[in-house]
Amino acid sequence: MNKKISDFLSDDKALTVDSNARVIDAIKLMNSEKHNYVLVTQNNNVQGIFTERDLLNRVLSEKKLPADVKICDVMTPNPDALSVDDYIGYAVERMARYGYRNIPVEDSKQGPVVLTVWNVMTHISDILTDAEEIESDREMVEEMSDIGGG
Amino acid sequence: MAGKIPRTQINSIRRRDPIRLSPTSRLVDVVMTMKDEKRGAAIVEDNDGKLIGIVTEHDLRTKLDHGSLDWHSMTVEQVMISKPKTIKSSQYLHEALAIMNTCRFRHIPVVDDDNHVTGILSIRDIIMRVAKLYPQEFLNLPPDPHSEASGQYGG
Repeated sequence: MNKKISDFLSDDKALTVDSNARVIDAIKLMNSEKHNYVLVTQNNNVQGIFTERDLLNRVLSEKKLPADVKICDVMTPNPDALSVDDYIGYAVERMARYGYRNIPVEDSKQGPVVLTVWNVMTHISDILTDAEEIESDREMVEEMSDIGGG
Repeated sequence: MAGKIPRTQINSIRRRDPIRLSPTSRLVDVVMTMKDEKRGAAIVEDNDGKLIGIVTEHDLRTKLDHGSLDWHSMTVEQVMISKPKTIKSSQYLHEALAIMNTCRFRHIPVVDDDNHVTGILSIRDIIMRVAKLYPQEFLNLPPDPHSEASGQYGG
């Protein structure tokens, strides 16, 4: 299946905060929009990504107060990015190998977007559905071949 | 190829032993453990070792008052999700996937008939398993253009 990443993206624009924002602002945005990431931008260019994992590893476990911390100091800088024209398999491979749950995607038409693990799960569900249908068809053929055979 | 997934039982999938907590574990300690163990979730057990809850990174983002550090004195039972959805090792991969996809859970505890946790299944475990089962979907791709050498000297 040679589907492209563009086939799996939702219409949602990526959540973004300015690189000078405080972590508390990012948390409020993530909570209100129900996303587990924000892209960190400067002049509309993606500088990094901040996720729940960054919150845990670089803020909460360091016993820092989110209002006192600038997002650019705890984000993951220069995250791995893909293009809308890349195959979805590349994203799956990165998610499996590196544990990424959100991958920034460059889209020249609508600015930065993010491919989430849930977008990819849609792809995997499609594969499973196909597999089950094929399996079901095969079992039916096997059952039919027993009727009066031989 | 067909039938691999429908016949893949949870007990055949690599899954890790979870971080195990008591309801009175201090949240600040849990955060440190999750960081050290590189985990996004931990399970909560009662005195008999039975599952009673789960705490995830999502809970730490959405349930704490991040305007102060008062959460340091909170306990796990104040933020955990009680009676989380579970799966048994005799069930199948596609059933776990359906639960996780529908409920947007990134972790699901695997339990035995007595509700003792035998492991925890993460969404990454599932993606890795599916990628292995269906290499033609993910591996027989043209070379990754983003993996090309960026320098002029070969290795």
